[in-house]
Amino acid sequence: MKAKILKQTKLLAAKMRRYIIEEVYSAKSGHPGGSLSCADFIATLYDNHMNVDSKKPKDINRDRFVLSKGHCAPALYAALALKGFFPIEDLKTFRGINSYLQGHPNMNSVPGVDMSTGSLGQGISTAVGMALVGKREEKNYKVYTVLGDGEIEEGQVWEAAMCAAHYQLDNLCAFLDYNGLQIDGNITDVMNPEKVADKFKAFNWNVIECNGNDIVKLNNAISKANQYKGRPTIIIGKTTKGKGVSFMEGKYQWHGSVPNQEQYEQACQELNAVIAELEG
Amino acid sequence: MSITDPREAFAKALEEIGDNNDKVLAVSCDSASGSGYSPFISKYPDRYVEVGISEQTGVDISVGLAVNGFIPVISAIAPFLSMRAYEQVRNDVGYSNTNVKLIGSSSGLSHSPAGSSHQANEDMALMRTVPNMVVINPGDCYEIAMSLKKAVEYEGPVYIRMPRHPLEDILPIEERDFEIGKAEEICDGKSGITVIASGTVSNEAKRAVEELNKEGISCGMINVHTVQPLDQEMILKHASKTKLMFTVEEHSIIGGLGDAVAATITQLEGAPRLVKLGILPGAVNTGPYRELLAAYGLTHEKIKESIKKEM
Repeated sequence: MKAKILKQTKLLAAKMRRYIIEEVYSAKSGHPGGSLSCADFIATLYDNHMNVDSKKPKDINRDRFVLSKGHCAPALYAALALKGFFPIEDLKTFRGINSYLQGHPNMNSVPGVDMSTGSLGQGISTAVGMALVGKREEKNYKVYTVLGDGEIEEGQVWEAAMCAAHYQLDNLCAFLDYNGLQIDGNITDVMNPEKVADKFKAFNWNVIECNGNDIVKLNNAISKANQYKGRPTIIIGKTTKGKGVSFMEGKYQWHGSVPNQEQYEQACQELNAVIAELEG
Repeated sequence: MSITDPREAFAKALEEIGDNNDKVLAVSCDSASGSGYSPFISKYPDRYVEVGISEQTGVDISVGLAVNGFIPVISAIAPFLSMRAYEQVRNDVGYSNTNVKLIGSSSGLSHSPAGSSHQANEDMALMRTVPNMVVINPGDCYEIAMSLKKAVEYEGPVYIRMPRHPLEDILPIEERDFEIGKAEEICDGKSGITVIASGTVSNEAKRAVEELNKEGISCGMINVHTVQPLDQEMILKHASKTKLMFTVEEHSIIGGLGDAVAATITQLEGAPRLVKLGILPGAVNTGPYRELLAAYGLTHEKIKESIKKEM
């Protein structure tokens, strides 16, 4: 990955984080922790891999993206706004009355959203359906989906995993945002999903493990996934919940909490500093 | 001779629809042979998607197919499709208004000997509350074929309740005109009694009405294949000249045809008294199909008895 491109994607991720905080603070509700942890993957994907055009959001040959962990909508909305799918100022309407930016993504109202999600486990199944169409129509598009590590406690995820492998959907790439935390605490305490990589291998998936907050590694992982033939790929990305905001990092309490004014200002200060450095 | 086997009627209709529309895909939850998919699959093997015993994923895969221009027809045994996958149907088919056709096979008491786990007595109640959902409850093989044809032509979510046991035609085919949301007037009555029936027990109700008419009790009758949207105009037309109204359905008396009719006639000043004939909530029973229908008061003899008792 060239230094200039890396810097550009890092900047996108940093700006996304800044807007994630803005959205949640404006709405006085939402999910900052997981949105921040998966921001690097979404930034890497939209900056370097997603074949989409904000002027033709329904283009039949576009790549598809399904945010299976729909509660991390602030991250997706920030990416789509920064990529020109809708005005950035609309992010402030997040979760507000009459806003098209609901707490969880709605494909019928948000340009660039390919599937409505929110109930965990359902998004990946719809992504399997989309990938099946890509195969039967011999289209070159890819289908990407982001799963939460808590989300894989839902049985439907494993139905979908079985089906994707059965149909050899190598046009499907899932990212597991493995930040290790869910609403009530450590995932290993709430419902230990380990050994996750072995489970997906046993379901006949191609498994790539990497640092899910490292853009270079994510970029390589996505490229490898897209070259892999015969099986779907899951990128298990070890991430930090609340990544980029010092007091949120690694704390499950920030799964669905809203910063107060002081915390909001501190978060903005930290993220603005990163943006200024990258722009400098 | 017209077809009486529901699965044969469904199979023939699906094959014909498939001949004319290459966007139609059959999605099976290990339900291909049980649903009547086999002729379609034999003819169009590449338009068949098997998802295994996983109704929840099956519904969402269908959504993924639908948003990319296909018309998935997904069939599974009615309780599993409408109840296990209810949230997927509600979110991704209903709220998202996707073009998915849900076929609840062996609905109602079809699997009567299998017990309550396999009976679907609440599916219409559940599906009626799903936004944008059309709910069709066919009562003979003509209605089965037409409901599937019209559902595929219609852009949006449809749930069709598929019967299993042999059915006679409710009316001669030449007298019929199937339109989603339109009920059929079978006869007009003079005794201030109207019977509104839907689905598999329409024929039972019709026979009861015919026998009562012979005894000098002239009942009106309406056949309702589309429970949602309900043909309110037809219901109100009859309600306005009726003192006593009956609904008849192979479904719980909560949330199905009976409640849909009740909600409609309350608009009317001096609305008729309504008696809902159907399955009492919590009823758990097993046995041969007709014996169970009789136990629940849904054979023509029992319907006639109920009407006379309430007069």
